[in-house]
Amino acid sequence: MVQARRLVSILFALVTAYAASLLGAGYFFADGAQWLDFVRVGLLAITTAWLAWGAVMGISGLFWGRGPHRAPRTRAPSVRTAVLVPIYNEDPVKTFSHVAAMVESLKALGVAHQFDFAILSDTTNPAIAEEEELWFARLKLEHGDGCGIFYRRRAVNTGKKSGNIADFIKTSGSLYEYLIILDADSLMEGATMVEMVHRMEDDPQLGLLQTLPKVIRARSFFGRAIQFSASYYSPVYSRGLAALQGDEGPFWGHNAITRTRAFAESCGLPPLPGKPPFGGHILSHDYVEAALLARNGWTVRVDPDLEGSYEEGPDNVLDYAKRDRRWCQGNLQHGRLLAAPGLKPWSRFVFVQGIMAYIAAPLWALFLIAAVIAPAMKIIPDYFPQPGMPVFPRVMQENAVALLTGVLGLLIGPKILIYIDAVLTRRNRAYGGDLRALQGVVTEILCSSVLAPIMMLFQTRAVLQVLSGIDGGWPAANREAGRVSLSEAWAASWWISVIGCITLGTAWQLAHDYIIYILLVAGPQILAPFLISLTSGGGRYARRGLFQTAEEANPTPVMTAQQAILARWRSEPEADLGPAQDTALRMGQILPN
Amino acid sequence: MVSENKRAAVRRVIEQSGLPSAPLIMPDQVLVRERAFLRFKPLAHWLAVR
Repeated sequence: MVQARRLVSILFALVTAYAASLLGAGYFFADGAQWLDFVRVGLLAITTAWLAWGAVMGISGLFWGRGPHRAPRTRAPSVRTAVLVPIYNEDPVKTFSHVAAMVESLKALGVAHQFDFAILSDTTNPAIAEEEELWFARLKLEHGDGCGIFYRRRAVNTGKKSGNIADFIKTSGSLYEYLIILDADSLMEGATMVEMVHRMEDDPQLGLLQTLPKVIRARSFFGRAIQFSASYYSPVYSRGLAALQGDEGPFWGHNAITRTRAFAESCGLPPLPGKPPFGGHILSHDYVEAALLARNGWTVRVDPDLEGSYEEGPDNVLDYAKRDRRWCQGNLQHGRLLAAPGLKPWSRFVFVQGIMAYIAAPLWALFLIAAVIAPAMKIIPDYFPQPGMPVFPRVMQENAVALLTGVLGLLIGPKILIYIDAVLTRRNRAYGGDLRALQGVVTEILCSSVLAPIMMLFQTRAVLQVLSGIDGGWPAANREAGRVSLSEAWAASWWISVIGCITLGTAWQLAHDYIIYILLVAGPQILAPFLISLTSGGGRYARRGLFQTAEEANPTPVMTAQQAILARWRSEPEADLGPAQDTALRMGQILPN
Repeated sequence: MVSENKRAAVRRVIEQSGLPSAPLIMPDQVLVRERAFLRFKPLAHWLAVR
């Protein structure tokens, strides 16, 4: 069944690309074919195939993978699970408040004794490391009764995050049947973690189970647009993804559970030969680990129906672009692994998808460049191919209109269908009702359309940097980013404005007929610093209900607990560790793990 | 300002909270195909010097 779905989906993308090529060729060749027209058709075919592939994921999720909602099982598991929290120069107060809330959530179910939390620090900043120790002690003394909480800080962060996890496995792995891998900003309901363990127990062949984390705590207009998009569209897209990937599903690096022995025997990652960015340690290790588990016969699955799994996202375009830079390098590095021995064909295809996710941007940019300069290279038509009446080239305007409509349909169509489905299934109630949800959908489409030309250039730059050998490394995430000032935005994106001006000016000179269409791309680029700064604020729209999500309207218990713990800790940062501090000093032993 | 008592207590907590020792082997996986012709060293040498 999975093979049939994959075939249908790939055929859809190919047929759509072929149709776009025909329409494009009809339009571009109307006044005579030249080499640039062939380039345009080729670029159009590739980029349309990519758009169609994305659309098919969304449409698939509306028809495949639906099932009744299963209530999570909360009886205590019979095996032990380690919850891994790798951290790297994070804010320890915030991160440990997440851990504290999850510990209390498990205690409330009476199952905390079967879970240990391991905070795996790769922090390099000495001041942050000192804060980590202070706040870990507080976390341990206030919440460590009845639940093991460990802390380890590596002197050298060999292998970065994947190496951090591998170090834990090599040190303590044989104690635990399962590992739940989190990020510093992850948050999960205790019931969700218990249900994940039970699902692993249900299927002895299951090597890794990935949840679909919902984005929470976004404050800015940009961040809340992403949060809304993740909450509203992603469950449908993920169902489509799950239906296509079957037993060779994704691993997104966090908010997932894995079978310890399966992971240990399958996912040891050596550095690749050569230097970064294509050699060295594997940056986007999660996709590789999923492929290696599948190679060894383990099932990797995403279960979008599992609720109670949360993460935080970037709150402004610049942080998004910084994260994207890392992911771009990681995904392009997968090109080294396309020929890795023994991989399943679908795993290789997933690597290609990941590469294409970033290659698409420069391909679109090339298409736009070709569109601007093509009119200047137009061949003067031969009006008298034969003696007699003149023959005027027929401008295939209807082809252009059909093409534009088709591309817009691929971009926006799935989102509209998801909205209609949400009306029919009453899912919009969680988003403030049909009208409020429609407001969110329309605003998100407009926002992403306006920012797309800016993102295209950030991604194109990322690809060019990687291909020219520039290593972006693994910059620490700025999880508490506030408003981006206009000067900061200008410093980061002035070059985008310049490119926008050049594009518009060139189009004015060479492609006057297309100026309106070019303006839709160059306009946002010229205004990039202003748009980046503007969208990093706008939190007041939250109070008016724009982009409302279910989690925002009704925070879950673990979300409420985390906020309460964080507020208390922030209000009393200098507090002593309480009565247990004296106990610790007298007895030399705090609490048994 | 962190008191000396608090600092000492933090030290004790950190010392007592290290990871338990229960090693599990995690071997490196083969990710890159060995180029078959390089197994033949004379050929490889010839290719390198020509």
